[in-house]
Amino acid sequence: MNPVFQYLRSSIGRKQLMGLSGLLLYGFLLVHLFGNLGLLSGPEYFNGYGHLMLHTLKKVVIPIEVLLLGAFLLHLLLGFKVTAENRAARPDRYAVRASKSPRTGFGAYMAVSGVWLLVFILVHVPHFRFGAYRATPLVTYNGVEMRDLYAEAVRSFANGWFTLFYVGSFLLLLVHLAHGVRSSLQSLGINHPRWNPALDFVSYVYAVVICGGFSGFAIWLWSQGGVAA
Amino acid sequence: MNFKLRLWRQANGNAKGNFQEVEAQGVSPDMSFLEMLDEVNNDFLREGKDAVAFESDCREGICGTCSLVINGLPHGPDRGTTACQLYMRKFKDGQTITVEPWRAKAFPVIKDLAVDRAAFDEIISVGGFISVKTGSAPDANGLPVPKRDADSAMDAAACIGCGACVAACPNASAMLFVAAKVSHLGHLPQGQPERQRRVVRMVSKMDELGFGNCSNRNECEAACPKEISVEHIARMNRDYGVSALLGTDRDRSEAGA
Repeated sequence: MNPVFQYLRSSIGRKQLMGLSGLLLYGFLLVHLFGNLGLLSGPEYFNGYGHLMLHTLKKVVIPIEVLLLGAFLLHLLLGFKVTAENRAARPDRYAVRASKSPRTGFGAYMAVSGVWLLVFILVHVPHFRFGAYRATPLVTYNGVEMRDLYAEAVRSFANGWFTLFYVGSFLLLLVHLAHGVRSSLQSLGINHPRWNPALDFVSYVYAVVICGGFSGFAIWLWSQGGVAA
Repeated sequence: MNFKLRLWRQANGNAKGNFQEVEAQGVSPDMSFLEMLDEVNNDFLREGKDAVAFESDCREGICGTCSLVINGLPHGPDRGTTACQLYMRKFKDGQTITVEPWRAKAFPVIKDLAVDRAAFDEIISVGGFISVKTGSAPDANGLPVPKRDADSAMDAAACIGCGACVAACPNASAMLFVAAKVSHLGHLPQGQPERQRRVVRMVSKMDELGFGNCSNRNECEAACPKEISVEHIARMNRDYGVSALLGTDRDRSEAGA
């Protein structure tokens, strides 16, 4: 059998792909959070950044988006397949369930949080990336017409339910990352008693920064009450 | 001490099982869990009933034969202990104790609390060995092994193949067992010639037998009576990636060695 094919079919190979695709997506979240920082510099800066990424630099950005979409779909499909196999591996459940592991907590919610994040992405990406659901208003700076993503964000987050949906999703993202980051590293074979406490610390801090950062922006926009600052 | 036991009874692998409630009375706190079950079975036999089937052999924690899930925990609540070395003083008087077999598709129930762990033998048979000339013991210092490697190999070699890792894993994955075997031989010079072949074949066999995938919940490490670390799983993940992608065709073939 072709070695790559055999590797991709094996349980370990798939876990490593799951980990790598997850790490790529985590990395993107940090870039996304940096982009959101532009909200603090006001509409002209933020819209200009959006225009730069989605229009001016599209020859670079679109291939990256395709790569991220590929990683996302792979992560999703592997997630479904692995979860189904894992359930099949224990057809009869235990009558009494107990645990001695300190790490099991968040790991039990990977599938649930993952499915929720899929719903979130199906809501969020068409909305802000493609202007689906409703047309993004337009704005013109120095004769260049662009989408007024700032106004769209302010308008959307003024709705408390919308903000609650976002913040709730970020909490589930925190659950997903709290197990996922360290689990990815373990699947890739990164585990050393000297470095494990540091890896734990960094991966938890990373998850908290990402989820806290996104939630902070959502709550801040909501607190503006629909008025562009 | 008195206990209320809920014992899993299942006539054979195809039958539907259920719990039988039994009172265990006058149990000495110094009895092991298995001795307590022996007493229950004596009562069953005196009353002309079918004794509950469970496995045991050495009863000193080194053979890996006992296999009971006690109140949801393989080998019971103690850490680093097999069910045969678990004493009744660890339980509260009057407590209800639920006893189930290892539950995994790859470990079918034979009867009651006894399961068939031949899947582990199949995994061992494709790579859990070294093909060296047997005979008299080699010279003590003929083959130097660094202390660190010897220690790590010894930690992995402590695996008694009981299957508590599979029983504890939410996915019934055999990763800790396979990792212990791969690590034990892979750390030593005698294990090097077959190192790549071993990890690829043992993992392929493990997948084929219907064990689940590892999701790094570390339940296996917590349940292991020999306290084998998931570090060995990380090591196997590294070894597998390298061997599967860079190994020769012969190393990757699924046939036996």
